[in-house]
Amino acid sequence: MAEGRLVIGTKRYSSWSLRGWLAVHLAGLDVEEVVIPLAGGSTPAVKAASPSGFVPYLEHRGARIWDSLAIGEYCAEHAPGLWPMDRVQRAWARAISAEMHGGFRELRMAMPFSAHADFRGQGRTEGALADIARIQALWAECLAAHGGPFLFGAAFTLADVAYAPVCGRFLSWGPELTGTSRAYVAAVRAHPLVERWYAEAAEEPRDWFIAKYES
Amino acid sequence: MSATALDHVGICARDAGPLWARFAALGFTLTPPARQSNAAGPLATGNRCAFLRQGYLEFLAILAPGLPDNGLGALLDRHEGMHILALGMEDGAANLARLRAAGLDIPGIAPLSRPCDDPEGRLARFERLPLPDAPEGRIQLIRHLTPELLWQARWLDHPNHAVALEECFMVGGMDSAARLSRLAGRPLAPRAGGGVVLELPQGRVSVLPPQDWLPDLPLAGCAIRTDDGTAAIRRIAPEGRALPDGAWLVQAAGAALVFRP
Repeated sequence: MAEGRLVIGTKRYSSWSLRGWLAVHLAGLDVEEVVIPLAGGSTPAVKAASPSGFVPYLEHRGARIWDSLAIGEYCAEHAPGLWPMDRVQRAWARAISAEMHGGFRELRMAMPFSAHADFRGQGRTEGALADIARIQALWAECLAAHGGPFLFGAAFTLADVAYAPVCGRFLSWGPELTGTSRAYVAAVRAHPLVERWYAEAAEEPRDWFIAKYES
Repeated sequence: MSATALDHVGICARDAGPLWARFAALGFTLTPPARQSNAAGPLATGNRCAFLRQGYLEFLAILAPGLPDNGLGALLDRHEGMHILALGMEDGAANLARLRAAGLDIPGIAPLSRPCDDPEGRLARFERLPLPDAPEGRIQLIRHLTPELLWQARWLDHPNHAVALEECFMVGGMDSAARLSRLAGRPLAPRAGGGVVLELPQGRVSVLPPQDWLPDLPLAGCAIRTDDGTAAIRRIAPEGRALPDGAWLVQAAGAALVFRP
């Protein structure tokens, strides 16, 4: 029997859910998955399921955790390897994850996550491009320091979890990226869990589609 | 369908005489003066250029005050110096479509022509896609329709041994860099030593925080490759100063010129 449940939104659109879902699966928590179709905001169904009114939301062995950053930290208590072992690298990984969590609003507004949409060429607002430049700079610094293919080396850490939806946005919207960034996006997309998320997103019912995120 | 090259930079002044004399004295072979015009008739502006084997520098001034000046007077009211940055493109229609898809309100491809001292009277013709309302100056994509009329052998040899326009230096923040990236359709990358760089197949544009060797202007200067290790320009412009990478820095008409070996 499952030891809890993870409430997430539509896999096609819910970038925050992807973060929580990846962390939970990387930590190997045994939880039931509850997917609530999104309708472009905090719906009554989501409000009823989550204390914050947003997804993802995790219940596990009596713990109730909302917000993907908190879910990631909770998962790391069970699987410490989700953060880099080295103190300095761990601090760095936390810093860039927090930067993602609290920032890049222009990118998120201009290039919303839509797993299987093709918006290539669109969405290039100045604000989004400034965010993308910053993201590419911090990726380049991490990849150069740790050798890739992921931000802190061979292991897929919570820092990669934080940026996995960004990779998805880049795949859908196709902004111009450096070769270093393209390689990183490809590495993240090829991770088995990310591949599984995309495959399951493709199987979601068509009546869950939200027109503005599809065309 | 992205920008392909650092095509040219334009250094502007109100008075043509001192501007052109300064760059001739710096060892550039200048093209004959060319008055500019548009569909409505002659403009107040005219230029001379220094064509390099890769890219060129334009020296633009007001020759006939009172005529329409295509906005140059307003730029000069802010300051004299570099006001023009043009990136090369190969396909105007495709780049227009790309920029519109990116959300830029561009009415269409702007044609431009001007005389070029051609014995048969042919006009040099261009297609331009200007970045609307760029606070940094006149920033645009350009396609040369008649490159053979401009890159003539008689204009390509320079006493200062300049051979290539390699880099444009902008002073600004990420907003300026993002505007440039959007126009160019190319990514920004961190630049060693600070700032960001937009790499092009030919040349690059760097956006830097204020530097002690650059005017504190949005379009601040450019780097020019020489084929003599900067020996000639060091003789021609001894007032310049050496930079750590073996380059020779000369300030001229409000712009920083970095001559590289």
